Amino acid sequence: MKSKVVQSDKHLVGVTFFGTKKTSDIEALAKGEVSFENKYGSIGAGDPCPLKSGLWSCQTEFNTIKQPLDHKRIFLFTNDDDPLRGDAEETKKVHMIAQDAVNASIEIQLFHIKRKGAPFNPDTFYRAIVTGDGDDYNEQSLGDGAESTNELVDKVRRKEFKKRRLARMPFYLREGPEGTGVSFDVQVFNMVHPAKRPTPIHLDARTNKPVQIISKLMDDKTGAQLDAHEVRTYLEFAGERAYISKDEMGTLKGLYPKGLTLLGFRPNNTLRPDFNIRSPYFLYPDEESTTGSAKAFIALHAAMVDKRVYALARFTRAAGAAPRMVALRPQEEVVEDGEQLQPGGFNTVVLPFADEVREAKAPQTSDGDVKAEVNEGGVSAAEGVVKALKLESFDFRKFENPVLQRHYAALQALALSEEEISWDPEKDDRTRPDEKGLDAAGGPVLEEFKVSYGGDQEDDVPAAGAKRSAGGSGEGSGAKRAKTEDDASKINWQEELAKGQIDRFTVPTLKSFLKTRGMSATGKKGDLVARVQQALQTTA
Amino acid sequence: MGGHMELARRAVRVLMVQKMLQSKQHEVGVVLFGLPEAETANQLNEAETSDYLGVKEYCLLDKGSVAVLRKVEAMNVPDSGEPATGDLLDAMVVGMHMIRSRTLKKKYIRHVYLLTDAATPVAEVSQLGDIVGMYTDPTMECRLHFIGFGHGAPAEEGGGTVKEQNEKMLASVAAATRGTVVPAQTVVDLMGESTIKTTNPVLSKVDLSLGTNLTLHCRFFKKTDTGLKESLKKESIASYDPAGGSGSDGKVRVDKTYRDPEMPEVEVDFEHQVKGFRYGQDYIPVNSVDEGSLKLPDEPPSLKVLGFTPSSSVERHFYMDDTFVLLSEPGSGQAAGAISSLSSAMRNLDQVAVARFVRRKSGEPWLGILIPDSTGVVPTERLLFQKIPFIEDVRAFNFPSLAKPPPSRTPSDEQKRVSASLVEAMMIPELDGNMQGGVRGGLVLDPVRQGINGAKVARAMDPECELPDVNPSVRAALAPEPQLLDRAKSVLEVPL
Repeated sequence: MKSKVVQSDKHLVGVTFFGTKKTSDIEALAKGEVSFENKYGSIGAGDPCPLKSGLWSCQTEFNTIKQPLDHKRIFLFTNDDDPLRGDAEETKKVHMIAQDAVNASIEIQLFHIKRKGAPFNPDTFYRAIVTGDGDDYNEQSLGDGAESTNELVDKVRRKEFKKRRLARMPFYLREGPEGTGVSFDVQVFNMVHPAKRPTPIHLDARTNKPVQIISKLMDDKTGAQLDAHEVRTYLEFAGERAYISKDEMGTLKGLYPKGLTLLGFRPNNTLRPDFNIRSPYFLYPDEESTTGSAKAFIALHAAMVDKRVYALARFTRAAGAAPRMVALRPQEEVVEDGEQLQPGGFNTVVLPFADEVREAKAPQTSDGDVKAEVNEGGVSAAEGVVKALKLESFDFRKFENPVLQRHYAALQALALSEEEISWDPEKDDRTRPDEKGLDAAGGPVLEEFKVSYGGDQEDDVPAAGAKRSAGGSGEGSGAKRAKTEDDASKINWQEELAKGQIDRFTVPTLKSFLKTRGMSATGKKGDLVARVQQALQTTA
Repeated sequence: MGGHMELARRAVRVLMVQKMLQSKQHEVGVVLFGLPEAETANQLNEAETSDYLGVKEYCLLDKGSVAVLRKVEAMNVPDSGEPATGDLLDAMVVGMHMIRSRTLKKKYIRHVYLLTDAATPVAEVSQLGDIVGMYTDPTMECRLHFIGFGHGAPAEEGGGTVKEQNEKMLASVAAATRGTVVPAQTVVDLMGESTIKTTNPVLSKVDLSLGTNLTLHCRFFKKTDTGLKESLKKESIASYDPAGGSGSDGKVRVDKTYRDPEMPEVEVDFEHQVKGFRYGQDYIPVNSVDEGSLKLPDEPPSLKVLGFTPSSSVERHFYMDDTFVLLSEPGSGQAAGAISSLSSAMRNLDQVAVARFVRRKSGEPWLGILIPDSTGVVPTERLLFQKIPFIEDVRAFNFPSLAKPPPSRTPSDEQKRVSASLVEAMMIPELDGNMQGGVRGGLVLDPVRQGINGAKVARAMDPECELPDVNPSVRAALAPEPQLLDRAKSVLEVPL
């Protein structure tokens, strides 16, 4: 569970077991968050729990860390709602320590595990020492406890990321000069952000320490180092250099001040599924900046849900950032078993600009466009396939990124000199389809579908990647293919020379001809053609 | 054309700049007509009979350059005191000849923009058929765009009728060549530096598979692409010499040196360096063999369906990247039929396919969904691919409930009513009832890119100039529509 809970090398981690106090730094890094897991040792059920010393040791641990820390957290795991057995004296001490922690900006978060029989009552003891972040769903209710390890892990995962806002900004319903506009304030969050495999670092092989990389601008001609004032920046236009400085570029980008501006509303069904460029930003009212924002936000949100519309808006994420057109979709809250699965707010779907959308030309072949005929039998066969291959309760949250999993598993194997890598793409990559399962579940319907479009017949195009090796048919223009297939030995070269068609042949054909004559087969096509002509003329 | 000269010159400049911005390879040329006979200068006139008087090949077709733009700016018609007698059919023939001599047998897309007030009578209308024939010749296909002047001086004889007849004729020629008819003022006002740089997406091959038995040959392309922005290039001022040969282009390179952080003056040689990754507090050196073990085994491009799920199970806000379009392998009737059937079936049952997508050889696998594409302009059925997150990508932050807010955050009935009227007042009207719809219904041009284009052209013409302002029409595309604001005015006066 440990590895599961905090599986990131960017964090400082320590574990403190109650009772059997054992503190160890497992992983550490200069800038990161700190999570301490407090976990029971095996102590008697009736004994008072040394929570005080547990918390205290956590704090001490924080104090020994000299690097500046982003934020500090203690994750408290327990299944006991009254660890001190009502000992008022001890409770007071623990509360004091907890208060110290809060003063030192350490967050304490509770993860409790359900016990059989007795419900966990957070109010008995823990309410007073747990810090909320003020803007949290669980502010009022500490929620239900976890019943299984998996559930606990899931809850921890939700807390794993520090809620970090990208920006606070005004949302203008109507723009206007200072004071005359109508607006409220929102906070912007990134709820989905692609986690990437880290890029390698350069290490000094002798010390195993990272080397410092210093980049300099050099004049490619003279090799001299260039200072900023010796370099100017440009864009090309019609072969000329149009000099534009970085600052000017900034001015060109920053057309509008930071914020959102309402452009209007449109019905939900007009939001095209093909206009997408990145994951949306999430908006939530910012009551702290302007009182009343929440009311306005909630009223607008409700009206939009009610009328099934989304809003178009102009979005400038930061001062000087390029503006974007966004579609604001109201998102409704989803709560299940007291746990918020999805918060209420707006998602800002970032729309592409007209110059960022591309379209393929209609596929053209020698016998004209391929028209997909609506084939009734085909559609019903395909419906059979769709029904047969239904995934039970699909949820992308069950899928881990195989690239990251493999990377960290293999890195761990290297670090700990493990023989085997614990993550095997064959077994553990859940993104791979269960092909046998699909074949079995789809069996007859897949066959039927195949027959419906002729897939059981000989294929009508060469397989992907078989362009060169497959002979003759399909793909590409006939003339070009014929060239590739030419065999130098079978060509009547003199005849081709007479027709003046030597340049019709491809470089490989020309080369193979020259080789049979024992001549040099290097150079550009023009050279080859000239040499072939010369060779043929001399023999003629 | 006299009085329209200024407008015409601006329209020509706009059209030329657009072509040049779109691609370095585009070639442009200008033919003037209606000039005094003394100004006549065209090859046809020299070669054949003196039939094409008053027509001048002002700029021969060539790749666009700043010099040509300057020439267009200096373009003027010498005032001979006589009324202009230009025959637009003559001009069409001379223009065609110029294109022909340069692009015969070449795979160009040819456009002719004919600017005219269409006020002069056409001498030999009987030739029109031949001329249209030239323009629609399959080996020399050429589109004729007619750019007219809405309200000019009435023509000498026959008044509006000559103009009307001519306009009718030009519109029919434009239609026959799949061209357009636009007023000149529109060209100048709306287009400015705004242009869409058209790039044809690459159609990559991929096999769509369902289990081990069913494989469909397909192609895919990236439909939305934000990676087309221009970035500033660097130049070393001292060694840049526009007139100089190779090596004097002022190229700047970035030189990286690797140093010991404790002794920054000591450079670490390449043989003493090794790649590595951080693992907790330690750095784990990784040699090339180990590096392979960190990656997934190589795979060919593939799109493998895991199964189907209701479309509601992946909400729109989980689409996390550019949109890809999947189409059947051109020429394959089988794949086309299969994709079409699958697409219809998924639409009928309101399902999407969950798929694993490897875009290129040894690329990273993505998780995503395939959706029937009902938005395409192409009649063939296609599927859209949208990337969806892995668990590692999702940050499940919690927020206080909006549905059951505390009293301090609960809107009043008045606020609810105002919000509802705001939505009603600011509904954007459907322009033509479809999803392609006008400016607001569809997409707008990137004002930043237009601004950069304008700046680029201005600085190429005059390196010292102040940067021009962004075209107001481009700016307006990202501003609320005045009519909508008007309608919402009374609503927005109530404080929220």
